[in-house]
Amino acid sequence: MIASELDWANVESAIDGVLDRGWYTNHGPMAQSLEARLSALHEVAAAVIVTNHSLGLIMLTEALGLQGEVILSALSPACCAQALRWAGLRPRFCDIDEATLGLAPGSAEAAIGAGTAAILVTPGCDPAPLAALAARHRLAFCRYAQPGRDGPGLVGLAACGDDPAPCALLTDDAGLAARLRNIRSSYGAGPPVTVHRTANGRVSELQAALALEALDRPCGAPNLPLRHLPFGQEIALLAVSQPRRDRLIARLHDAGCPAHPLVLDHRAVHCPHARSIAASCVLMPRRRAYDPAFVDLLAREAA
Amino acid sequence: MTGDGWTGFAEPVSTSNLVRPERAAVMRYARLAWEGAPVVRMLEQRLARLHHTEHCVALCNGFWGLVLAMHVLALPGRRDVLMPSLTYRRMADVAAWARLRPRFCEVEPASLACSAATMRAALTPEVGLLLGVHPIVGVCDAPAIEQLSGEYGLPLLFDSVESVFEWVDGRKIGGFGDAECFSLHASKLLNGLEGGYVTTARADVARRLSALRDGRPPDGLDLRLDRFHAAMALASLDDLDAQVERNRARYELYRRLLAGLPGVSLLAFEEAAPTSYKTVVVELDEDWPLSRDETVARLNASRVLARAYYHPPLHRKTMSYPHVAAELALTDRLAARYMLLPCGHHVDHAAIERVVRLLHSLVSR
Repeated sequence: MIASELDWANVESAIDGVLDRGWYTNHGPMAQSLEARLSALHEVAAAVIVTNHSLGLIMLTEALGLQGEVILSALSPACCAQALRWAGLRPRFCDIDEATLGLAPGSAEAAIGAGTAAILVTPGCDPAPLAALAARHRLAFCRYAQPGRDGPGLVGLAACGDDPAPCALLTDDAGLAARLRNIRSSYGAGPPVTVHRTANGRVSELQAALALEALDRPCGAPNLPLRHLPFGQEIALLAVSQPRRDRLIARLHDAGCPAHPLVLDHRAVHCPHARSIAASCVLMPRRRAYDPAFVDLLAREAA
Repeated sequence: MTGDGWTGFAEPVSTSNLVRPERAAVMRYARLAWEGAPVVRMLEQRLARLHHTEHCVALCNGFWGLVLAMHVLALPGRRDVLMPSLTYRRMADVAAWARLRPRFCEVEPASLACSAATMRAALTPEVGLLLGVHPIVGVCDAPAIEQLSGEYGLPLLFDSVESVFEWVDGRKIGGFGDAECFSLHASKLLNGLEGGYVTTARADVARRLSALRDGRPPDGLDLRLDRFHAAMALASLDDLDAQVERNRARYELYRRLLAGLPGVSLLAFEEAAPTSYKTVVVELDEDWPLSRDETVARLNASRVLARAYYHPPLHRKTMSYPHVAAELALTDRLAARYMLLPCGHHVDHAAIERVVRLLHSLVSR
């Protein structure tokens, strides 16, 4: 139903390269090359690749030394809040701007208190007012699933099919990058610096090689006929209404697509705009390109 | 420089296993993965069979496998996880991620492993989890530690990263305690590039670990294993018996060559049961003219990447998270005496002869 992103020849060639070099992980030539490419591509001083978004977010908050509350959109993927809790932080859900579907600056500002440590933005909003808000209140500002120059950002890297995708942490702060590399435990990747605790977020040479292949392929927005936004490992389709959402989920299931409703965290149900949007959302697997027959199905449902 | 004018290896020789399974096998499993076959599940089933246990949960690496297993198993309301200090250098960090305090115990001098006796001596009412750890060479007395766990009603997790192939008292490692953790890092016996797994006989533990690993709400974290890493691990499994034979030949050569070197004792694998012969560890005793650290430094200068054995021990590390300070005199003494010598896929017999000759040259100066 859903098209693959890389050819088998790409995979075979990447495996051959890894086997030939005998350098399997621990910041080898592919990982170094990928970090250099990402750093140049996003015009940042450092790109630190890690296993996936969840571990990336944990490691970023650890490297920033955050404690207390992190403000984020009530419509953030569940994995964000879960990663924050694993990092010992308290997610504070705030309502969204219905037009952009991103965190509403007014709602975020109202939530700032003595225990607030950071604002985390997910795709869909204009980050500028939120970055300014964070700066005004001396809070850390992080972008989840998007690059930026106003604070560290996490960007996802292409993976094959449903594989957990590695991600890159982008920053202009050399000290932060050094701490991230030490938390990631990448042997020989920069000087040792003191960190509170290490983790393991290494990316293998094969993952790095495949991500490099994917970087060479132009990648536009997914060819979907419904309004949508990236949502963690998935994509959220806006189906306009709850009855239509339920019908769409049923049709997608019939077509073999594991679609399901978006269920807000119970701590986010006080946010009326997010609740309203969530009731019309369908979550389904994220792809760079969808099979035309699948797109037709969605278009018929949209009509 | 040795007596024959040799100044060192052109390429470093390391202690990492870095085993390379057959290319055809890697490609066969990778192709299956590419075509959508459930290779991660296939790997889990094969590993469960290998370890003679019911369940296996594969993860992105062994570090997070340990974190999740500690998180799942520790008794609610108890703060401490009891572990030997002479172990994996990040184990205290693992405990911190699981929101537990590491509490350290001694090891037995003969095995370098924790035992029921060393753990019992460090037990307090705050301990909510026992972490038995198999040493790099040999095994700990897992059945006795199981008895201790039963006696005190404490859950028991094993770090079995170095003991994939071993047995204890006729039982395969992988089925002891409430769960056992393993690594698929490239430096380990099974090379999955990056990866790890947890084995358990308890269905409830396996279900909980899977839910957490898959990132399911309310407290999951995406820790899934990459399917191509699973493919590599499956190919490594196909090669396992052949690899052990290659390891045994390297170990036998070291044993023969080191026999005539005063002050250096090879840690012997217990050969009554299957063993992997993967890692070569030596003890430097009073007859050896250099300290362990100086010896390692001299070897490293010739691109022999020998490493100190679990140094510094965990109780000597600076920790900024809650932990229980300890004085462990025996561990301190042992931590200064042992080192790992080059081994693994890229170390051929000529390299081993060269390494031992280099050791001879250090003693003859």
